[in-house]
Amino acid sequence: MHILFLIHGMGRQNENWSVPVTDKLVECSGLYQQFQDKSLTDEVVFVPLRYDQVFDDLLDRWKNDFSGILNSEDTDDIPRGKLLTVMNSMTQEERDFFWSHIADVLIYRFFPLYRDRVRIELIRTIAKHVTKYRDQFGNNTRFSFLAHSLGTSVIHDSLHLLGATEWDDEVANVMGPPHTRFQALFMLANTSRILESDVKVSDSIVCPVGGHNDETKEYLDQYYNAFHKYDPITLIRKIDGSGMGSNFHQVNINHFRNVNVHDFSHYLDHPAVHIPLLRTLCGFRAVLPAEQVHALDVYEDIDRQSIITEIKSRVESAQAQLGDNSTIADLVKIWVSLKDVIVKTGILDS
Amino acid sequence: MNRIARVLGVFAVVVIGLTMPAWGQDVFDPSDSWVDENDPRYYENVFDQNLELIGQERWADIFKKLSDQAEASDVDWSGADEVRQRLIEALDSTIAEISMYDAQYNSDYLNRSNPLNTGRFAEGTLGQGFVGFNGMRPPIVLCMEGAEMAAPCNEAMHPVLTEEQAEDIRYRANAANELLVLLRGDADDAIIEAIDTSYRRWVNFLDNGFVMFPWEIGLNSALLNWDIRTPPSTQFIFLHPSLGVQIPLDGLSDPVKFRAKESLVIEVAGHLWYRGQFLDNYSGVSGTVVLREDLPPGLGFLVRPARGFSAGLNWHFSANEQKQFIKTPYLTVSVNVLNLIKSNRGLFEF
Repeated sequence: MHILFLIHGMGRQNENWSVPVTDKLVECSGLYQQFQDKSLTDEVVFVPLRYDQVFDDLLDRWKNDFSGILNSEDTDDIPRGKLLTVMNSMTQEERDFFWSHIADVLIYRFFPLYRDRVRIELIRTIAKHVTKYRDQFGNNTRFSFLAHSLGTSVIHDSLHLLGATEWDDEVANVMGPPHTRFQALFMLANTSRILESDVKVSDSIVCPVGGHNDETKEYLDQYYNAFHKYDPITLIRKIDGSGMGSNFHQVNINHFRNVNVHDFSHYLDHPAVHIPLLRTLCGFRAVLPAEQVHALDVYEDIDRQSIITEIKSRVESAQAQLGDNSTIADLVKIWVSLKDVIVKTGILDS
Repeated sequence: MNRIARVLGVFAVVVIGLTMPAWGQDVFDPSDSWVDENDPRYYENVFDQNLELIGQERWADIFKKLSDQAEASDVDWSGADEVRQRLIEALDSTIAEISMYDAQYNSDYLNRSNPLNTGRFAEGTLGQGFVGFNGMRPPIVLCMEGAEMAAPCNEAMHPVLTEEQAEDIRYRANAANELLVLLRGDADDAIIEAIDTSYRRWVNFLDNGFVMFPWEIGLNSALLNWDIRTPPSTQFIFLHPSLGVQIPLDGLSDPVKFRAKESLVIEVAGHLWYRGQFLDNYSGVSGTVVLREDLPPGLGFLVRPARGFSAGLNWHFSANEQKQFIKTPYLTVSVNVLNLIKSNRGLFEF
């Protein structure tokens, strides 16, 4: 049995947040012969992980206070940081988007105590599930991760700390490499370098076999990194796999099936993303080579060229404003201005 | 030891032969549906054959038997014998390591500073979804006919295997893996317990601890040391506002003078100390300024003997003479303003 942990991105979630993701994977698997007489769910257990509730309590306490400060007419004398200046120039809709999506990202990056609180939440949940499913399905149970957006940074850091921390003063950490190694990490819209803090990506054990030439520092068999050229979230500090060896796989895509190119399901829709995932979960013959070639050949953008051109133009224009020294505040400004490309749902019809 | 005892207990009552028949499924598939549980190489049967040695924890002798059995395999290994030799070498390396731990470290296999590699035989899915064993050097990949052109099977060291050869590798490596997982069972339990302890500490510190405002999170993040295993055990309080209730001290003994009055308590600076293995309680002291409508500001202190309890004394300036204090001090009982608003919102008008 293969256990696939699903890790959501930024924004507030609910208990059913993973349903569209698993539905999309099942839908994608249905395109291939192997899954005509069996279901993906026969071979895979999907385990959605949540961490957004850690932010929720904190945000509920702060939201009114901050809004009060920003709305006050008597606050001109208060020195404002770059971020507050950005917020002050927002419309109400943009401000709502900020609180519902971007605040999580900023708390994770800039409040180290809460960052560790989020991480321990995931560390404990993963460790418990690994133990539980090994007991249930045997020790050859496989574990992989599918993470999106903010979730890529959270899972990167959490896995590193799960595997690299000496949890017990006397006993070796058998949850870490080489004792335990996970099969694959699929990162969609990878923010782990954008939000990099105390856990450095280049030194992390969240690295595939061969990446460090040290089996005690390689926690994965495979690392897949899906990068969408027009996703505004990942315009700076891209992960390119340098120094991660031949088991790092870069998947470059630029498709348009939706206004929201950042959407979790929009990434999965592309055969270049879901085929390696299906093969990881169900084996090489889950998608035959001829099927792979055909799927990639026939995959096309939705026929809404004018909207595609407009989005491309907006993202390229935003990218031109960014450089090597751009900060997260600069990026946040762009996320707000491109929020329809990040959160809007629906087909290209607007 | 506990896990070994459980295994021995289970095998004492299991009747070999009542297991499910084999499904005859694809051995190159990552799932375990190909397994014939009656096969003597199946790990449960290997356990059964070695019950006495397992009970005596004679791991080197057990692995020697596995190595000898792999050497004497009656599977036709022509065309791919180098793969079987790789397995035998991995078994022999493990025997050598275990013998070294037996001789030099009194069979302390998982000491934190120098652990035995217990992940060498764990199965994985390698690039493109091939079943393999990444812990062996070089790795063993189970390449099937027709996949010679797909990476990693396009490399000379990964010859195409017959179904019998692939089964032989999987049975024997899986048995070795299960034995090593058994060997490290107590360490697994210790790590899970340690992670759980850390989780409880973090929940008590941040979720159940004394609420921090953003500037306090910043201050505490800058001044305190912690790691993922344990959050800070102290906390600074700085400019922390809350609602309180004030009672003149002489009102405690004189019902005529007993008048409770709401006030705004600002803890200018203070310190908390968390107690207990799980940081489940705290004490602290702060210097305070108290503001209320009917009196000039008051100065004083606040003491927290335990979570949820706080009391302090304040001396208000005289309304007539600002440089003098009113003779009677006030007892100040502070309730966290956020919790108060949350649970009694209807009682207050802001």
